[in-house]
Amino acid sequence: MIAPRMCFVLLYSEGVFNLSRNFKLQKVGNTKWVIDNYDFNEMSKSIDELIILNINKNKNMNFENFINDIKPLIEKSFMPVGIGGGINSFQTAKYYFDNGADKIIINSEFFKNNNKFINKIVDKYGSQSVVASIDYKNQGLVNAKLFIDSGKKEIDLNLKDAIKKVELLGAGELLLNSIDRDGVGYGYDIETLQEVNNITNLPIIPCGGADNYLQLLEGIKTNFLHAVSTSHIFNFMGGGLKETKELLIKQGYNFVNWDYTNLKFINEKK
Amino acid sequence: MKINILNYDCGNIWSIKNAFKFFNIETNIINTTESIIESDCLILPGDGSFKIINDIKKKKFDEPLNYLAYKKKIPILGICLGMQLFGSNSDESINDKGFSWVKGSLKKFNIKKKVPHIGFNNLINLKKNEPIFENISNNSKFYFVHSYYFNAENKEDVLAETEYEITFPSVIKRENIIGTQFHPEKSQNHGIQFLYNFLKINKII
Repeated sequence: MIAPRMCFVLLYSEGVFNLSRNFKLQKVGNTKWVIDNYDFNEMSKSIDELIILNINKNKNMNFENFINDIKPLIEKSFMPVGIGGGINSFQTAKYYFDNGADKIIINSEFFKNNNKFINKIVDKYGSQSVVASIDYKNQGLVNAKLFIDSGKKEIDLNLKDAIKKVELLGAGELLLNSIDRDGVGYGYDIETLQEVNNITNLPIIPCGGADNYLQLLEGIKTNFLHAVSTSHIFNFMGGGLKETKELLIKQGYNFVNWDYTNLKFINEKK
Repeated sequence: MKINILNYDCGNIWSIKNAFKFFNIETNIINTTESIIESDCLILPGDGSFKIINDIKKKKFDEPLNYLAYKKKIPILGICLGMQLFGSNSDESINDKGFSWVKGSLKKFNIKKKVPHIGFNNLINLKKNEPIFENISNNSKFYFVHSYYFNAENKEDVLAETEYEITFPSVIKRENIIGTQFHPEKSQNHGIQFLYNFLKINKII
């Protein structure tokens, strides 16, 4: 039986990882800080899927710096990795795939004119490798307002049509982010997630809203979500995520409890 | 000792190279016939389509690969598509012949559940006393992402299976050749243990 996934989202911008509240950023620290002070390498042992988003709001994104900064984190991460941010060509996507991405995450470009390159990515890497990320305010298929460019620009499209559009372009998965719920501790926008699930077969990763164990539980309880995600590094640092997963497993949800202490050969070396 | 990863332009090669770094083992990413022949251990990675076999043949990789498999008899590990290429043919491109190292063909999942099969799923029916499963138990979870499965002709070539509406082989082995439908490099401590066992059996560690 396929296990549900605990996804962890890292929010990167110009050399620094961030906490986000309604898309306003609070700096956490650079790569070294995340490893030394938040014990990311320990934390990553409990992550089923790592998602790293470059949410730089400026136009000129330095892809090389971004990849160099996240390399030390994904080098010790033995699970699927999704990388997103600023993908506006096949070449950028390829650059991410060549540097450790199993999936790439595209947001704004799905809704701009020159989006044909997305078909090319799907052709080459398969739709399971292309995640469509959608940021919205308000609730519901019709009432939600959609935003692109890291939440800066509203577009004239409802959620229903947006889902159809990303399906047509070949996306294999959805990352749905409620800007209203982002980082403010109200839990996921289950209503909208449910409505979206009713009109699509694409698997959904809910994003924005779950900052603690109970809110993650609320997400996985829905039965239509097979993944949950959080980006709240403060609340889950070091062994925090492992404890949370163990609590969810106790509630009967079939998450995998990865156990590195089982690797006898490492312990023997010590 | 040359541990080589064949780059035939598909899939996340970086992650495989990276996984071997966990054991402080340097690997070479190769893409010439000469470097294939020189290999002492070869990893065939891959996501993507069986059709890639045409590119492999165009680049004349098939002959040196057969040499490694049958004559030089070095350890070969195929991952996902890399393992599927061991077969003779595939539903995915009916006229193309695979390496035919392990008897069997690739079938598309014809099931009610969603295809591709994606996620962490269990290994079941582990063959007993296989050193590749040292410290790995039945129901250990590994990461899968695929739409076709290896329909093996000989049961003795199947070391483990996985269930996704139907039961299909998830580890196959024929002499020096072993293949996994899952991605060990994406399967946390379970995958690390699997790779460790592979390295240990072949005296690389």
